[in-house]
Amino acid sequence: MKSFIRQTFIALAGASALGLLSGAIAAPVTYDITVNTTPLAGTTGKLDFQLNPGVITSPNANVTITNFNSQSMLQGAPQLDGGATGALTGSATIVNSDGFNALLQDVMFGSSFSFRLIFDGSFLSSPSLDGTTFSLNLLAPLSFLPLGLSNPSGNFITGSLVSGLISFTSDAAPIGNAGAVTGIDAPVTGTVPVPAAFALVLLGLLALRRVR
Amino acid sequence: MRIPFAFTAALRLIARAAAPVLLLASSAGFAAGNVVISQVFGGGGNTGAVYKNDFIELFNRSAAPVNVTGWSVQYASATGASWQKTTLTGTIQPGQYFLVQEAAGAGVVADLPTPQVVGTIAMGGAAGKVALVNNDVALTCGLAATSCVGNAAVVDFVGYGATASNFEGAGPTPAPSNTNSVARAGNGCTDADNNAADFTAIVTAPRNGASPSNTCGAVANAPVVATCPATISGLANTAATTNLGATDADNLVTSATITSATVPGISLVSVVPSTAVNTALQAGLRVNAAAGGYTITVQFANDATPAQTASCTIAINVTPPAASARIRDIQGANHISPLVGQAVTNVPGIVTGKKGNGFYMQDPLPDNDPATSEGIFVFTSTAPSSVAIGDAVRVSGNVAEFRGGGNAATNSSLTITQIAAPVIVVESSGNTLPEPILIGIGGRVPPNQIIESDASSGNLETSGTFKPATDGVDFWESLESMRIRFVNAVAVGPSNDFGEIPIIGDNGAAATLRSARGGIMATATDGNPERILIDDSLVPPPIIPATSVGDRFAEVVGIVDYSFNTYKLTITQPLVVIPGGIVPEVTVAQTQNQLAIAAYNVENLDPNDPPAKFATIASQIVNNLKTPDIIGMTEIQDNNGPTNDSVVDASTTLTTLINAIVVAGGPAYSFRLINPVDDQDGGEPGGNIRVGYLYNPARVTFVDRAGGTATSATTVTNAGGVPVLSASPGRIDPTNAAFNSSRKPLVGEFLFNGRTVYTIVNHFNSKGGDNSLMGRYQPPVRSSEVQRTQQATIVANFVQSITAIDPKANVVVLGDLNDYEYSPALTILKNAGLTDLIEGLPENERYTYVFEGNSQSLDHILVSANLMAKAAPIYDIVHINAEFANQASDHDPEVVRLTLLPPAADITASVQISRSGLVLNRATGVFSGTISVKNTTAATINGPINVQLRNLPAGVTLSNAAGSEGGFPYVSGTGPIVPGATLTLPVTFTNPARVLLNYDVRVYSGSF
Repeated sequence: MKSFIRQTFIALAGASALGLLSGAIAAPVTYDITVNTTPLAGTTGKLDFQLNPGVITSPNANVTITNFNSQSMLQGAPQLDGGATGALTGSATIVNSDGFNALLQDVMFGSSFSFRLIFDGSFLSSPSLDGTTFSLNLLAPLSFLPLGLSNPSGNFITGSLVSGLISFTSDAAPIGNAGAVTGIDAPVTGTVPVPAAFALVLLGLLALRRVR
Repeated sequence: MRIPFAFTAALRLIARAAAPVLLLASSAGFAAGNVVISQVFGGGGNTGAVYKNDFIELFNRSAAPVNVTGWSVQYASATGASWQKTTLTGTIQPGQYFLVQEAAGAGVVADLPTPQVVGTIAMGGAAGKVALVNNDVALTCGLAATSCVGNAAVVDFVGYGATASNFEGAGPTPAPSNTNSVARAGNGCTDADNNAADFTAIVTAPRNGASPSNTCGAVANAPVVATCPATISGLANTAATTNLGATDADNLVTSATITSATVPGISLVSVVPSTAVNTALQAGLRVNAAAGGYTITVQFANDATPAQTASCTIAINVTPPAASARIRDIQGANHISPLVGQAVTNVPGIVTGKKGNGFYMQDPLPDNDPATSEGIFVFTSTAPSSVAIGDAVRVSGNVAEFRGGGNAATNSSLTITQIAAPVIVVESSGNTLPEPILIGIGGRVPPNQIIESDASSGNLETSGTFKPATDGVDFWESLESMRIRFVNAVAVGPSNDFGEIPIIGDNGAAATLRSARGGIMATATDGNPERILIDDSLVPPPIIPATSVGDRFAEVVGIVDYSFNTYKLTITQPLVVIPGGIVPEVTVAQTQNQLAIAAYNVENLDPNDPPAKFATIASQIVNNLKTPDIIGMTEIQDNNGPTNDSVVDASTTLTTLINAIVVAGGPAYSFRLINPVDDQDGGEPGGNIRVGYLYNPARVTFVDRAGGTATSATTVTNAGGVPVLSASPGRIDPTNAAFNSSRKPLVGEFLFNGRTVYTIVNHFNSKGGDNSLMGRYQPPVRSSEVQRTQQATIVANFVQSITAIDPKANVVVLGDLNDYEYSPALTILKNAGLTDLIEGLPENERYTYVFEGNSQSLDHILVSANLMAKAAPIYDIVHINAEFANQASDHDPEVVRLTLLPPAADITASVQISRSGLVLNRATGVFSGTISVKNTTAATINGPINVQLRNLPAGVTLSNAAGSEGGFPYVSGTGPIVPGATLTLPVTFTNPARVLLNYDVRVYSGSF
């Protein structure tokens, strides 16, 4: 797993290129994410978005998924569990209200897709150490096995939401890695300044763009 | 009386010239030119005749030649007077014969010897008249009125057959026939002018001029004439006497002497000199010799001066007596001789080795059946001084099967086939010994697994098929008492005080499951029948060199024997050791948090042992065992060892050892034990062997609980979930009959790193009384297992009385359990929740003892389930004794290192806990997340770190739990956590209902 972004609250955005600070202003936090799926282009699969609390005492958190730019890859209506509502064709929201909160969308992969994440909730201002985790995985259509991971017990994208901090990690396999099912070779895009070192490590895995 | 020749010749001339009647009446006279008819044969060529011609044989009985040229022999029928004549020519020398061949008959038979004159007269076969005439004029006489006798021209006249009308003297000669002639007595010398007396009928034997001459009247200074058989035949070593004799016509024969080389067993006996001239000296030639051919010359001498002698040469052919059986017939293809109880005679063999009570012999002419041994032991009871190695002997005696230890049914020993009450005859010495049979590659390969496969009755002597190709005991039996040879033999056990070394051949090429150090493993299914024990039982005893496992011998030659319940190779030539180079092992020292517990059978240790033994064991404990924290000792004897008195205290024994350990650089151990009741625990009489503990008080604490005695049984009570011993040290059920004449288990309670460890040291009853591997009862009955099983059951029950109170109790059962890991006794202990650590070793490392070359496990350390789960036992058998010629004990010690960390401390208040959100893996159905623990103190928190999750919702399981403590699962991290640092541990849950989780977290430093 590679920790590649640790984002701050909006009020402190830009305070650190590494985003290591936290703040007290509980305003939504927005990220734009681009994923290169060239090796999977033309195959079917699933996009699995989850937002699950660790325990019942985890503060409220929700995420809105918007601006999904590859409408043509979406196939049918999503499967919604727990606190999930909406659809990627428009705007979908997942709330950490249940033990399992998820949106599962069938897709026909193209060369890439992108979307916007808007995190909100009381966790942004809570000191609680009981967290919530956002995750995205690319799944095989029948077996539900994760695709494109270097660490089979990890996630394609993991976002840890705890004590007002959002930190992302990825266990996506590097492009061209032997045995990797997929890879993403698009350059980092977006407005979020990603440290050069991280960018190299990611091998152009994906790009997140935080938007005010 | 002898008549001077000249005188008698004169008388004859006078008589013939002047008075024929007188001549007829006179005694035999000789004159110069006195030629006589010496033989007449008229049946030539007739039926039954040997010769085809008639003949008239003349003989010159005088001392001067006689020219018979112009003379004639004439024939007339028995009653006729018509004479036919054959003219002679030639000279007859003194003593010479002169053969005149006449007409041939019709039969085709043999020719006469070459005649001097050939005539054509057909003579009467049964009667007739023949005259020797000194001219060539036919006679006209021959009838009664005109007798030819007295005719001046007639030199000699013979009327033969009853009907002859004319003859000399009183009557004609006896009648000849087709097979007989009539011959003049004295080979022609006798002439009393009486045809009836002078002639006899003989088997026709014509003599001619080439026949040996015959000197008439040459009787002066007669020679000694020996009478001996040309040949004598007899049986070896069987006395027989043949009569010899010698006569002398004019002297006494007075002596007989063997003049040829002396032959043992051949001599003259009963020599009786002659007592009168012309009577025989009589002697016996006694032959009682070994088989062979001999030529003996016997010389006889008379009393003349100088003595005359005569010798005769006798060929003596002595043949071996017939053997009633060969060795292979006695041995048979079985363990018991088919001739047992029967007498055998003259069994041949070459002596190959001698013992104090007999000798081995082997047939030099083996057959081709490998199942029947060609060797046998001859039991002489005392040292067999009458034979030497290389002697060819014949043995008669009774076939017996000797079973060492007696024939009681409880004795599983096999037998040795032997000839008892022997009568031994040495036939020759210095013979080449039979070539030894090569055992192994290129020769006879012993079975390497099966000892006996089909003794259906349980006794191979009464059931089963003799299969030397596949069954080990049958293989060696087929070679019993034979010479065999190994090449590249390797020792699989050390030399011992009995002069034995177990070996296998060919560097163990065909052996299965060798130990890494050169031994060979005994398993439940492999008793290693390819082994045999070198032994030194021959006389003089060979030197057995100090030998350790893995040492080798380029060649071993000896005789297959069986004694003390196994097959032996009694060597006949010295051994040369090629060192294998094994060295005593050294174990790894325990770490700070490792409790090292050893088990060591010190083989009857007592203060009377040499100081070197104490020093060696002390050094082993310090340097090889690395000073274990606890040592379960077995075979500790009392303060005066085998002195059989009432002393039972062993404090001196242990103090002596403890002091030696200090001298060797080790710690000052303490000890705990309970003295036994005198003479109640078996072992060496008077020694009062017992078990006990040495422990290092600097590392462990012995928890003393008073009350333990030799006869009191320790109990276990439950004190709030904690097992409490009624006594420590304490004996376990010491009065139970299961421990009769056996050591009583001793339980002790120790503290290490704040943790309680219960140890039970044992010395179960020995294997005495078990059937031997190479015995008659197959498969062997291990009767001693019964008592060990009872003992194991008692110990197992005691262990369970502890673990029933605290399933996580730390219990160690150790010691000399005198049995294998797969035995019933060990199975009982394992079924009580104990793990036999030896089973964690590779199969070829599971040995603490080497018995007759079989590496095997007798000593064990077993641990309870909690120790297996938590203490990461590291077990090691330290090979320092059992494989070595020089050993402090016959057992190898064993050590286990148990990692026992201090008990876990609840540090929840000292950390900050963060629980991440979860992600469901849709393929596995498992939720994953993390729990992070941050050290909020200024001190380092030592590992391991255990994070316990309490009160998870129903249906939710911590699927990656490292364990459960107090009913709550936990995950573990190594730690430590320095101040301010965070330890993050993954957690996974199964949550089929996908409920919101709710649980408490407790964090512990240290192991549960």
